[in-house]
Amino acid sequence: MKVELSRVTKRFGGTVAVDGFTATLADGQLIALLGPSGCGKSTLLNLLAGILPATGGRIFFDGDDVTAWPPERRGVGLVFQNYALYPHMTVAQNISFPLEIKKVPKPERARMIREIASMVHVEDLLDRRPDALSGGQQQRVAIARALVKRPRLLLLDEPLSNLDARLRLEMREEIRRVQRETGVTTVFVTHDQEEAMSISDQIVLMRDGRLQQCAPAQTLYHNPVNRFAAEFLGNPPINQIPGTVSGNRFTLKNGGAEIPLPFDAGLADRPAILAVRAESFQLDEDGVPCVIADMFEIGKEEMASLTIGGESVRAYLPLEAPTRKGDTVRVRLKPRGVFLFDGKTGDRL
Amino acid sequence: MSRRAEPSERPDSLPRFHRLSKIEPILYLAPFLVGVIVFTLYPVIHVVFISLMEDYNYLTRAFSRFGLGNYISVLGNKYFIQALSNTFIYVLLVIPIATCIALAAANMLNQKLKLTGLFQTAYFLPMVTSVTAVGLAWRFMFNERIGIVNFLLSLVGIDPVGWLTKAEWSMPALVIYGIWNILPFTIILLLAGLQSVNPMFYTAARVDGSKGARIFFKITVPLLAPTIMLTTIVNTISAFKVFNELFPLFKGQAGPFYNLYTVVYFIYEQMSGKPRLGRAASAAMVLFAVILALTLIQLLIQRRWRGTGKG
Repeated sequence: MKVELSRVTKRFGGTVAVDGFTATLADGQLIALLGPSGCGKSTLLNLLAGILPATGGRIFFDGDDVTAWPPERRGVGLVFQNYALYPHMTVAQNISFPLEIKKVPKPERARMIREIASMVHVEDLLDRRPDALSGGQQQRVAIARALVKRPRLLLLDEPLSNLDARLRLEMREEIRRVQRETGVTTVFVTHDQEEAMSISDQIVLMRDGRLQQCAPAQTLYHNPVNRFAAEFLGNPPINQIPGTVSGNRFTLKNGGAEIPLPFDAGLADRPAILAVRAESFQLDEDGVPCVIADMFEIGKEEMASLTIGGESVRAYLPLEAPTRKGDTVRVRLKPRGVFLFDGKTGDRL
Repeated sequence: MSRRAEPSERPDSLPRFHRLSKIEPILYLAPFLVGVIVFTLYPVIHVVFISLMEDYNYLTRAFSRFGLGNYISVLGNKYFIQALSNTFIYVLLVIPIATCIALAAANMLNQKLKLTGLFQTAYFLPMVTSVTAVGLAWRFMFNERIGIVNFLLSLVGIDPVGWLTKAEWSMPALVIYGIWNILPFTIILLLAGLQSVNPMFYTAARVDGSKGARIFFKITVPLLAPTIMLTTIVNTISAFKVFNELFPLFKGQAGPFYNLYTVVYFIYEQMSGKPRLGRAASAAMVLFAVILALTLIQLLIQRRWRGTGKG
């Protein structure tokens, strides 16, 4: 199902949680609603579910204006952060609950429960109570309960935040798999950029209730629209150096160095922020000299902390054995992963 | 601390210190224990003995026979049997009705509506009033000619009811007052239970398409079951001891025609005039046995209910 949001706004008293949000979510995709804590992403999820009424704007499901529809009419499945499994019901009763309301006949119900339970691998747990399940199992049951009524839209609120690191990896693959198998349009809320980048078809990046960028993970990473988008994605965080840009040269603010850019910015004497991803540095005989402040290995990669004209940056560099702390190397910037932003507005230049 | 440090400076006094440290906690507890033993434990045990002694005289401690004579005489007494059946009827009417009303009221108070504060105060007021004083007020309210209850009934065209003067209406009057009396306690506990229910469950049920009544019976009530069980047990125990409610309503009589004997009223009557301690004690023991049995049954039900479906 295609979801369209048109200038959707939600205010709580004087606080604006979601501010004029416009976006289109394509049918059958797994969409990550990404943003820092308190940016309004959970509020937006609740607006999609119909739990909260929108203060302004319109929401369309496949062209139908559902803005005023109550949750049960929207046909959404919702998975809560704490799963919200009914503690007094068994797993089977939990999954059965939405079907009973829909007055699905009993034999049909039993078949649907078995089918969905085997899809999320909880078929052996049907007689247990939620308190006898592990976090991952509860998550699976919660997904089963949300999916059993065949929703047009599946919403997951921070689905992985209550799991330990290993389970989190496992469950995000599971969410991806189940989404592919059912083909249901799925929106999940997360503040973890890595989680969002690893499984989603599309990332909706939010900040302070406003849409920043809506694009596939790779686009977002390689072509961020503003400084926030560049900052929020990627690990280690993107390097940022204040200075002035002129054509294809960038002068550091402290005057310590001049860095040649891999592109011509088409600007003259414009104050800006140069943002460079850690993997966008390259050793080059004719490059800018910089001092190695520190070196460390991360897995198979060699990470160096460099000082360029007084500014500290982190870079992945193939440094050979004789190179040591305090040595000077010469680097240049690769064409990919180098951006210029306005220092005040954060807009891409 | 200084007292504890002292013996270690004089190693010769160590054994005495050890002995003292063993008695010490008992010494601290002694004043309280004496109170409990004299005023709670001793009377309770003494009642058991008294119930087994026929024609027991409290002053001379004389009795004619030791055995089950009192029990046989009490259980053969038609007033006691009537008292027992009245008490059962009272409990069976008051507890379910009061629990249902309290559940509805607590659910209402839990909604964030206007005037909630006012209603909360109104509902909890009986908690801080004296049963006897309010009982007297209810006596006026139940008055056949000038009472507000009949006035309200007259508004919907019902003829005056002889609440306190007719035998058939005296039990309903007692039950109404009994319900009113235990409502605040029940509402407070149920409201506390309701407030500890995570609102997330309601949201989940709403998204699944549940509406008000279904959410209430399928989600709220089951989640509240432990609290409902607790109030039921406590209220059942207190309702079996119905007496304070009876006394002011009927000017100290057991109903207009002595038709509303309850077990405690029976015990009270055995003790007034020429005290029949043995009979009163054995009646109390029978009441104790009934309450104990019912409470155990309730706990058993609760355990079984909790145990189901755990796989």
